[in-house]
Amino acid sequence: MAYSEKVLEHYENPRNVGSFDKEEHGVGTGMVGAPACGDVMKLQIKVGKDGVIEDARFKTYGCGSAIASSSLVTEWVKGKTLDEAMAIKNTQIAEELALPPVKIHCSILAEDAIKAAIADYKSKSGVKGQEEETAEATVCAPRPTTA
Amino acid sequence: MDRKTDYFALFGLPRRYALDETALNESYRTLLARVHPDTAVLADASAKRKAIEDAAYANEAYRILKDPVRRGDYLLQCFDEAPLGASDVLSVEFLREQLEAREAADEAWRAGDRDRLESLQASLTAAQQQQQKVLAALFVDDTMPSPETLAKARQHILSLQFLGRFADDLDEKIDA
Repeated sequence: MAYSEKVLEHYENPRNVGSFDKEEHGVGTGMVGAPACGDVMKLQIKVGKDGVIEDARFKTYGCGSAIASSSLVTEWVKGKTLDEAMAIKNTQIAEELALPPVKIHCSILAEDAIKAAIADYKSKSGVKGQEEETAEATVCAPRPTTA
Repeated sequence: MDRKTDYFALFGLPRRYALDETALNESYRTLLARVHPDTAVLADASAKRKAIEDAAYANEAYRILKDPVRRGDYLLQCFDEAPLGASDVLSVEFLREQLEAREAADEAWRAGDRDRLESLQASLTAAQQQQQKVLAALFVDDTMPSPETLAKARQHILSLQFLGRFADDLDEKIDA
């Protein structure tokens, strides 16, 4: 299956790969996975005193679309408030990366990951807000050959 | 052949997770010999169609029982649970462990460390066997398991499914 230019670009030059110390103040960690395709995604945010996301990191093991989706999301959330980041929809990710229908689940995984990271940050820092549901993993089509 | 029979009963096997593969293979061969469409060559069209459908049913049943993940998924459904699907979530602890294992595999692969990859593969195989052992203890017979047991079993089947994908990935890395 052919990947779009944008997916390939993020796949070859992923932004913000790495980790923050999950115990560090202001860090929220989201871990999500898709049992059916074996993808696992860790997305972390670092929130400043003003409630704005200063920085983000990710580590994803999965197909090119999963890597590109998480890479893109780490770029998007920087400079956003938590509420703005919560509003990111998988459809926006899928559209930006021109994901084909069989790869939509990768963008859902990325949306779940950012929501889980925000929920983790809120529960650690005691921010009052509506109860966040734990992010849900999704089923996924068989792995494409990415090589 | 009654195609409403559950897959275990079809092969005369107890409805549980632990599988007697020899018994399954033998029973499958016997059954196929009986329902194979070739044996219906001289029969009329409807008998022929029935033979084809029976054979397809037996093949599907065999494939599902033979596969450790699909057998678990099938057992869940036997006990009125939803099949594995989009709303299933893996535990954060499991995902964290898996992310670490993936990192280790990636590093070993980049470093061209075949011994390390093989040792990771061995621990993965052990982890898969462990999951299957737990499942065998959760689905022992026809008795309806408690909701807690079913929820626990679902997590182990999901983990097994996830580990299977990682195993495919490791195999590719080792063969590369």
